[in-house]
Amino acid sequence: MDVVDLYKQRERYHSAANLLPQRLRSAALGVEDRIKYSAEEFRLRIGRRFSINCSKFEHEPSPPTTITSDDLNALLKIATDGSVHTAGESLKRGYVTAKGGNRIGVCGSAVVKNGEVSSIINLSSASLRIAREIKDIGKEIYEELAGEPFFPNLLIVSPPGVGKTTLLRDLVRLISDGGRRVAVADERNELSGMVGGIPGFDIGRCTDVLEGCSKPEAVLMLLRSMSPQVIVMDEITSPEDMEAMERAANCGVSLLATAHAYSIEDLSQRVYYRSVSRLFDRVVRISTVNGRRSYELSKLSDWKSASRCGGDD
Amino acid sequence: MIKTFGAICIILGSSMIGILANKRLKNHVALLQDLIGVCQTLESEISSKLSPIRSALLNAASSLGNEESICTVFITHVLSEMNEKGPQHFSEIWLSSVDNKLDILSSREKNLVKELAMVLGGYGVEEQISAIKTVRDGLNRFMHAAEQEKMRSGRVYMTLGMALGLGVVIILI
Repeated sequence: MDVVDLYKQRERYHSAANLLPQRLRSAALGVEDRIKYSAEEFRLRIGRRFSINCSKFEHEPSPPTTITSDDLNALLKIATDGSVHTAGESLKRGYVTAKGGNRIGVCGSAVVKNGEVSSIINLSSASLRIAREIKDIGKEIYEELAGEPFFPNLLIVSPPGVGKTTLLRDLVRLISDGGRRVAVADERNELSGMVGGIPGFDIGRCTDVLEGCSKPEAVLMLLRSMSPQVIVMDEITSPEDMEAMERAANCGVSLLATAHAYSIEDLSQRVYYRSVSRLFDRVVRISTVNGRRSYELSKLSDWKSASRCGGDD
Repeated sequence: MIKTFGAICIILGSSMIGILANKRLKNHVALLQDLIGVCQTLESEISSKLSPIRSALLNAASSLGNEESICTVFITHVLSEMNEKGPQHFSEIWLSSVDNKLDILSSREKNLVKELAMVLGGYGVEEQISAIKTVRDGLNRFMHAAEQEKMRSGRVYMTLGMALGLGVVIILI
């Protein structure tokens, strides 16, 4: 990361730390800059020490602070501006999106009504994920694909925590600013970080976001209402997601999506893989070498044949 | 001349005491009415629009229409304290604001309004609505009692004030 990126990362860290209750905030803001640069999330578990998860290690700010249930309740109150009920729907799914696109995942006791989780009470732990926005990391990939008359269907693949969503967000911005209408099915509000209708990240000037509802439902609604040229889905996890993407592709819309996978073998074991190989033309694989991320763009067919020859990791 | 002037002053002064006592009763009723209105607005804002507490309170205050009413001052105080101390302290802010800004209410009425402190902005919409309804019903009962008190005692206070002034003047003369 260059100086500007480091500065931005520090700003993002501060913005996330400001969501913490006062005593934790002071501890979080007091750590060294190197921690701030590599911090990925804050971890709050009742009865355990407050910690900061960095890319390669976990740091406990000094003096050590033991988390109480009041801390978790205060965190939720701050994140929802004193109105936890406004986040009821997302809380059912175990998270809350706060200002600046920072996402808080929560654990506790799920209250089940009519076979569905209606809320989570008695919170036991929370992770406050620091939103990252690194501009132009997808520039090379975009420039390679933008010249094509029809933006190719692109799948971003990597293990968890390597930066799929960050790359996806930057590609959304680049494609949108390039003049194509982009529609985002943002179920967990992670891509846009929308709060009160305002995106927490720069997602481009021609981007429409539907957040909060299931991805397949959102894709169909976006297709009907926004006539997108590119449809975006973060984390394909089920055959239903693929079905919705297939429908979008049949309507002549380009697809941009991410999927968790360690390798092509890993991806090919998913129940939806057959549709993946049929729908997507290109794959971006993100890997980390010596702490630096590298992005490798290839045709899915090349990747598959490389994998068959044993060239894949 | 001086005696007449003194007599007028005494009568006016004691009448004023009666008028103020009557006004206090009127204000009490008006405040309870406003609080019931606030409860109604909060109820609809939270149940139908899922509004955040801040905007629900703002809408409740603007629906009252009178920027100088005790209720509007109370809500404005709650909102400014939320800005200053942070939304996580809403409960304490609500409790202290009831004590400091609604001092015209009786302690039973205050306790009723304070019940909202732990509920507003919480997890469940249904819980909030049911708590607001309970408070609104309680305020309605208090308001009827306050109206009866105003009808019964309002004129008495005014008449007594004037009569007291006259009595003092007669004794002094």
